[in-house]
Amino acid sequence: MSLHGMSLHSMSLHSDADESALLTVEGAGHRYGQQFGCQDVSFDLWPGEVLAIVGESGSGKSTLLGMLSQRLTTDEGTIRYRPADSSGITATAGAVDLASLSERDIRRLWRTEWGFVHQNAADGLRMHISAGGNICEPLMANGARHYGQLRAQAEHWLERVEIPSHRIDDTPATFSGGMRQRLQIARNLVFAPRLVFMDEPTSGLDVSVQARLLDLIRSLVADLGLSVIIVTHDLAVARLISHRTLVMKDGVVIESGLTDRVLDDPQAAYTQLLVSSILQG
Amino acid sequence: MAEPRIVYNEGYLDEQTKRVVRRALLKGVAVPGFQVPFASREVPMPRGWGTGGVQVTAAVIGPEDTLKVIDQGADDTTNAVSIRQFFEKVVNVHTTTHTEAATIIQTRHRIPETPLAEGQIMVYQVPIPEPLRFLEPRETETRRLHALEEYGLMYVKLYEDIARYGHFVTTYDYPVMVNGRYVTAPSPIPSFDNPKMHQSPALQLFGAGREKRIYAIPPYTDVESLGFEDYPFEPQRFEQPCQICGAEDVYLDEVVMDDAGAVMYVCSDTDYCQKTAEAAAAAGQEIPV
Repeated sequence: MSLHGMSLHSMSLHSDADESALLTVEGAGHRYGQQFGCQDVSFDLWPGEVLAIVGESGSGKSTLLGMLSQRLTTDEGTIRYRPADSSGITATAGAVDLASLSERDIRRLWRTEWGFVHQNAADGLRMHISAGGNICEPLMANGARHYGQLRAQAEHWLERVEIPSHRIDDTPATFSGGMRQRLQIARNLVFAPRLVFMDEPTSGLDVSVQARLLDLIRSLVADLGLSVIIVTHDLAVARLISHRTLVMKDGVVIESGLTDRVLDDPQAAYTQLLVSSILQG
Repeated sequence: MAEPRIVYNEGYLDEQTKRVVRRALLKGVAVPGFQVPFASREVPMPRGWGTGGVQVTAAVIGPEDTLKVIDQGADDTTNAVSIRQFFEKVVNVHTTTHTEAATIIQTRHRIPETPLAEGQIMVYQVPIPEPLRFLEPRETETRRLHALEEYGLMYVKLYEDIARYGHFVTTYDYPVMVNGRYVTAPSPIPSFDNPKMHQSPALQLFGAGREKRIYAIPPYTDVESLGFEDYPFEPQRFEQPCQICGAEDVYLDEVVMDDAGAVMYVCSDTDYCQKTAEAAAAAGQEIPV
């Protein structure tokens, strides 16, 4: 791993001495039966950083994302997370081993600090609840009980993700694919998370919609100072929105570094193959 | 009359089964609003007709009790009459239609208008004990949501009501928070009756036979109907009085009178209606019809 590039990068973005990594992954892996879905993964994720995980189908990207977001167990290594001060989770030296947390704490993190954008919007939305209801659900889960304020928040977020606010009472079942995905993003950002996991958020959309969505994600991430881990098989997506890239093959990380470095000067043979397979216009 | 050929145990259920139900009831009382799973038995009526209520009643009833059974507030409907006769036969218990005379009141869909008193037991027949059921179909998930006190989903339902209709349109089985902890289905009573559950002096027991769940609200327990800060819970209201007895502030049934669509509004609680009408007649009042 090119650790040198990583630390340079983090230095340049975060010169404040008190900043520390949001997520620290050391030798982590998840096993399906006897086989590893992903293995020996190590990296740091810094506040405000966008990390892309690229690789072909079956390379363990989604397994890694599932493990990081605690939907799958961590069978080897550790994942340490630095929770917000308001989380009520006691962390030693600012960070906590996620495997040591109770289900209650993990679900609290899902509700208050982590977003998860699914590839298929139907997985992340309630398709027969109105758009407003979908956006407000995380807020209500966090204890918001004022209808007027919820409604105003929902309208605000619909506007932010470029959905006309008169659609607020329509169900996502009546929305186009692009609108559903934008609604899912709104639902995941409305409670001001610190870390958002995205699993192929743009695949399955046509190219022009993809470009708009990426643009939207990029501006929201910059505005809100989010940390994002985005899984994609599309190198153009990684190039467009990520600061740093991990390349996976057969469940292991074979190359990592600044996105521009990885894509312009790929060192692993597989990465070279991947980059050269992009059609040049 | 000759000896009956089959001799039933007192209360129909065998003693072991009654212990099973009582154990679930005790747990339910200890954790108000928590749905206790129990091994629901067959009773001689179809599931969905009050088998849960019948099992709960059978487990708590004794020969010295006085039983009242209502169905939608009425003492004289088929289901109420047959359940009453069932317990007359298997427990040899006194039955009544007067709310204040009853020690046990088994009910489907209503709480009597006459205020309940200490020492009385309300037994509710519950079709769907899980208030989150229509929002989250997975039982494993709803139990987890209850355990972790995650009730955001319940408010999504209320949000949708207001967003679509401008007010809460859920008028029966309106979800309540029991003792500040468990969101609970009050069985399909009208939201008109919800306030009667709050700090009720009576013990309230809920039996869901098909769903195999028992839960309870002990006397003098907080029962809060859910709502938003700016849209608080509003029970149903009726503009006019009952057209038989003239009572106001009671739950009314709409009775269609003819083919031309004429309707009449009368008390759903037949016992209360009769009592009010008799009192009015004794006072020499003319009843407005």
